[in-house]
Amino acid sequence: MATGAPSIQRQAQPVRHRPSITEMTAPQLQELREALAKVLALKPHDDRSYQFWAGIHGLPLPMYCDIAHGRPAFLPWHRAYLYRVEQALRDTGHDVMLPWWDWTKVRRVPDAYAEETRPDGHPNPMHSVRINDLAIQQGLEGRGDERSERLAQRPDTFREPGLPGTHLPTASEISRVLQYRDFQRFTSNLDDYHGNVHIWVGGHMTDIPYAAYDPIFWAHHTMIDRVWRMWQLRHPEASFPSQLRNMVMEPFHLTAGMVLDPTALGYDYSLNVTQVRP
Amino acid sequence: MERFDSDPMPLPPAVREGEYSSADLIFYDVDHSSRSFEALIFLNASDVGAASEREVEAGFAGSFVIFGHGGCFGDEGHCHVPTHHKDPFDSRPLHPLTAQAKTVEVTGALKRIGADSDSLTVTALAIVPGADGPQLRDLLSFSSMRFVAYD
Repeated sequence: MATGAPSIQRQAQPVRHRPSITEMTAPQLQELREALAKVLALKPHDDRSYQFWAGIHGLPLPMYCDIAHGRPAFLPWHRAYLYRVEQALRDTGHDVMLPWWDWTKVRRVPDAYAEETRPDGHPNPMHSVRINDLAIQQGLEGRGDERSERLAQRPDTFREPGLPGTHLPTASEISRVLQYRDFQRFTSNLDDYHGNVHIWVGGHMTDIPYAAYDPIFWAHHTMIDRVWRMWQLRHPEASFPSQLRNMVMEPFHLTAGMVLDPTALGYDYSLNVTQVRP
Repeated sequence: MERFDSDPMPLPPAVREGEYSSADLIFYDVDHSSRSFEALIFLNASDVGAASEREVEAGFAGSFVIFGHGGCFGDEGHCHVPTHHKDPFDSRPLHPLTAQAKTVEVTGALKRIGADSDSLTVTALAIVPGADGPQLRDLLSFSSMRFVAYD
């Protein structure tokens, strides 16, 4: 007899909503910062720590994201990544969801990430974080160019937003991408615009080895995931590559097919979330 | 290669007469092992440079972005992409630095050219941002480029 045991493919009830970073209230931001501070305080080798999760993308080796960038797994791999990081943040006991930064509308680093200190005077963990020592060591010992060496010499993440020659995707460009009906063409174009944002933010966000250490990485990729969700809703008839469906998104123990429906993972997107407790 | 200027490619009559719905440029085996950059693509605009406007009127067709691997951080051979025949029983994924293919839709820029030219010259500029302005860098590397028009 069926017991109704929960599975990852069962739609969660009710789903939670990821908010826009610019629409979050002060208490919501405070809760997010507290959750972030807790995972940042854990030892780097603790598999609940910020350092552990940020390191999965780049250094220290292995660079798991190599199966994603410039490849068809770009979107499902990062969806699985965000999902696991969000779970790590929620495991701190705070009711938080990853916010998204709509760079088509907010043409600057959002205040929540730009402010060096919180309203209470403490350092803002969304502004800059310390990079894992092992990642820095591997970066210094590696065979990169002068830029890689420069990044490896900076143990705290920094940004250089909007340098001449950079480009932040526009609303019309994303609107055009959303019109593509073919998944691979949509993915390829969105992947390129995603790269534009990494380069626009500058500093450690610019290259793969350290990008995920910058807290704004998550807001950027949550926006990318949101655009994919919008595309999925707009093109429900679009097929997903069959050879990709069963591909494992390492190291998240999820296949691409398992992350196709965000509501099966318990989340969706909204402009803002207002919750009232009695 | 920091700047690529193709030889003129003859445009098929159907393209010159506008009998197509869209067109792509596909770059094969693009290297992504080093730092990040954006490759700006221009059509029939050989005098463009790093500071050229991203306007169709200036010949700008589109761009692709390489989110770079940033160098090699393993031991000797770690970043060597094997070129030998792959074991048919080897189910491991591709080597992480296997070169990528990049597609740029160039429909708008092609329509600007219209019937004015019977050939297509592609200029690709690898751009990295800098405090003093956009810079051309020795980053762009690919094996071939293909122009495809669709009806």
